[in-house]
Amino acid sequence: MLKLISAGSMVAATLFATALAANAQDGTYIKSAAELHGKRVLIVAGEAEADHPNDDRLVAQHLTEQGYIVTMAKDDDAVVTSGEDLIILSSTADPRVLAGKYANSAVPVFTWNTVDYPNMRMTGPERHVDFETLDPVQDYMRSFSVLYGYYTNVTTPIVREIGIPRSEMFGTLYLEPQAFGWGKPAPSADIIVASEGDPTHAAVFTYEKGSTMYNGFVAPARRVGFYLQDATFHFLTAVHGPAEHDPDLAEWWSGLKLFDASIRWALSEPAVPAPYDPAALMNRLAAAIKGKRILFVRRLNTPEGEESDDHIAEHLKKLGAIVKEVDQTEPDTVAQGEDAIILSATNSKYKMSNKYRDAKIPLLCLEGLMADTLKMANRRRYIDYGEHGEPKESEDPPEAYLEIVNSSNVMAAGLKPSYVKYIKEADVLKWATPTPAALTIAVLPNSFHERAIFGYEKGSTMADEFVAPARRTLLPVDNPAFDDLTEQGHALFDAVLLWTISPPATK
Amino acid sequence: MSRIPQSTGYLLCIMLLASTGRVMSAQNYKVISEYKLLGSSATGIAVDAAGRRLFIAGNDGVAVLNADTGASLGIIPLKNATDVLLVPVMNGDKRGASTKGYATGDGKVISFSLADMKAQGTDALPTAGVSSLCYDEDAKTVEAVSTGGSIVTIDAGSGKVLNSARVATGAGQIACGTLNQVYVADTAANVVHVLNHQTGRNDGDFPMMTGHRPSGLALDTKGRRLFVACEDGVIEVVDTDSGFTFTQLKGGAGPAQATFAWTPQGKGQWKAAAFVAQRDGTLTGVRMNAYINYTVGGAYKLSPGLRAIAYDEQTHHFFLTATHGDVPVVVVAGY
Repeated sequence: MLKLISAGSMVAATLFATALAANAQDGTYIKSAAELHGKRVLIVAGEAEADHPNDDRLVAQHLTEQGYIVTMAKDDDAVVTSGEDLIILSSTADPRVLAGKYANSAVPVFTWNTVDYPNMRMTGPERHVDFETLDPVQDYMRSFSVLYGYYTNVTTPIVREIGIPRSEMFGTLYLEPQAFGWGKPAPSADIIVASEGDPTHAAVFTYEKGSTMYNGFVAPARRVGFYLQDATFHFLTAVHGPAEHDPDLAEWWSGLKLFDASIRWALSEPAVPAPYDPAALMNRLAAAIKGKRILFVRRLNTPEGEESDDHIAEHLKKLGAIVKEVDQTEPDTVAQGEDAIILSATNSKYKMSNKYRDAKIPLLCLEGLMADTLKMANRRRYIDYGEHGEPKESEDPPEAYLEIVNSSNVMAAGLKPSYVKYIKEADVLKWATPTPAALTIAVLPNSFHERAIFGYEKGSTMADEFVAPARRTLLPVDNPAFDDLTEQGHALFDAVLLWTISPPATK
Repeated sequence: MSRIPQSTGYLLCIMLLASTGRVMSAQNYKVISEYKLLGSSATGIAVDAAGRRLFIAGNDGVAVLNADTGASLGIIPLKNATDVLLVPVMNGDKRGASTKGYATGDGKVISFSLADMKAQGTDALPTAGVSSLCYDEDAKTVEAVSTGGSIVTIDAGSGKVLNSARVATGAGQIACGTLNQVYVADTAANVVHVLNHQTGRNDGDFPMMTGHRPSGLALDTKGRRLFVACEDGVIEVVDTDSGFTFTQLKGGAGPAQATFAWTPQGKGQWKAAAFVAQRDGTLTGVRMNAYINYTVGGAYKLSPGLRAIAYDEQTHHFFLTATHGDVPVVVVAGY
């Protein structure tokens, strides 16, 4: 009996270790404080002045208590190139002196030096547009509004780590007018917290190593932007006493937990994507999709795109999927018993109505114009979603390229951050602007907000606070573009499909 | 607790708050009189403002003095009394004359009449040790907390024990008044326990943000602010809804006791304040500028050995127990 238990335990332990290893590789695992004990943290800060106290030493003390080895550096010290595991840039450091000297650091950087965000390539350069600092005297009214943050995406590792069950508001700092900073990061960033009711005013945001930051700059290591300012650390919310046992209150006063989890995320292993290898990718997809029941919703007997749809179906069958092809007019109950849904671009948005929106199985949509009915984006046509290259329906010219902005995700097929030729000839390409909860993989060239490839994790918050019942992805394959996809385009198709049908990170 | 003390930057901030012109005192408190007491100790103190009497708990019992002259008016027998309180009688927002009081010591609680200063009833506490009293205005109960680890809830009007429970407490001051909560400073554990006197359980603890050895407590039940005076000189202002210390100020040193008062200098002066008396002889006025803004209104050197503090709303004076050498006294502080 004992042996049986031991054997069972060993199997469980092996499975657990395997799962941990997998998590470590996809960057979703956040190490515990115990696992990070002894990590070296460098805080780059200015000097406290008599008339301008700051919390830098409190931060250092707090981190020391967590088990980190903390050293302090001045803003005009030489750049540290080795030996540190994390660099913290305090807002007390002079951003003109810092001047982006840590931008190229291969060490993770955690910063609340908002004015230095542009130097770090974490945001654009324009104050009040790309980033902003708020002062409780100068910006009295707004310095109250920033006391309320919004967790945009509960499926990000950081928010999962602190146990926030759904997108919701919380208290960022204690109830006094506070100094605050926000940034508007590039599309590859995860916006952890938005402020002032504006989804683009990121109070906390992260870049995975290898993702594209501002101006095409590729993150050499993880980056975190946080809303603190010089003397606000001690106002980070926390809860004690009776309120600690009330989940609503415990979630509300979670600022310090958020800080700690963000530090630990920065120090944990980044995602390591598989290299670009279309054949290997197809094999992985085949292994994942074999025997799965895929519902392919298309317009049967369509005047255009029929051949393209046929080829999509053939591709799926060749991979080993059991494909059920149904017409757009069928009720969405046809999805019962299926494992995943693919919506073709031959479908008419108008005829499809809101079908499949609530499907509890993963869904890949190839038609960008359906982004709003599927809750992938808001409803303003040509503002929240739109298209390039459709005569009379778009002021944008046809396009053949996409810009890969987030190589760290499996949906990027291992492609490096750059422009990739997606279809053989410039043609129609659809896009949408998802909520901050989406994982953006590719954008239309020269347009941050026109997101061509993106996905929602199960449980993440889509448009209208709609919670994704399962994974949702958008990939523009306008009819009859499937046959026009380049090699990279096909790889992206396979990679997005692979992520869509893979087990979600959340239950 | 994660955000720790003795940060030079933070202490600098505290010191600045204490020294800026903005927080200078409107009144300068000083010792205006001193009443010598019989016996060898003076711990708890209560003032009957309407009747102009002081009640001082000491090892001989509860001494009763004329509040204005210090003349002895008698003694209520209770061996080794450690605390005393008078049940307030409220007429709306105005306080009327108290008619009943409670005192604790020697493992028991007695009730007494202010009319004849005679004990009316006695209840034994479940544990021995120093005990303290506070009054819950919402529940109309007297809470008796023993350092031995118990809380007893007494109906203030009838004197009947409503609840009795054993629960870990602390050696510091206690405070209560609303939401069935009794705050107990646990000096050794560096926390304030939040005890629920209905359930007799600990509902959670408030850790100190930077202070060490909390001992003095004062509660503003309207603002839901708990003023925690620590022996290392840090005064933390805690939002009791969240248990979060949002302001830290510099007080005196040593064991502390505190009290809270509205308009402590009359209309037109401070809106409200917590006053902290500490063993080094410092009386610190923590002035409320707004419910989220408190500053040190003044730190006044009175005389060493301060213990308990009571506010006289008629004269705006403070009565503080102290020991000068071996002699227990009542220090009268005013401006």
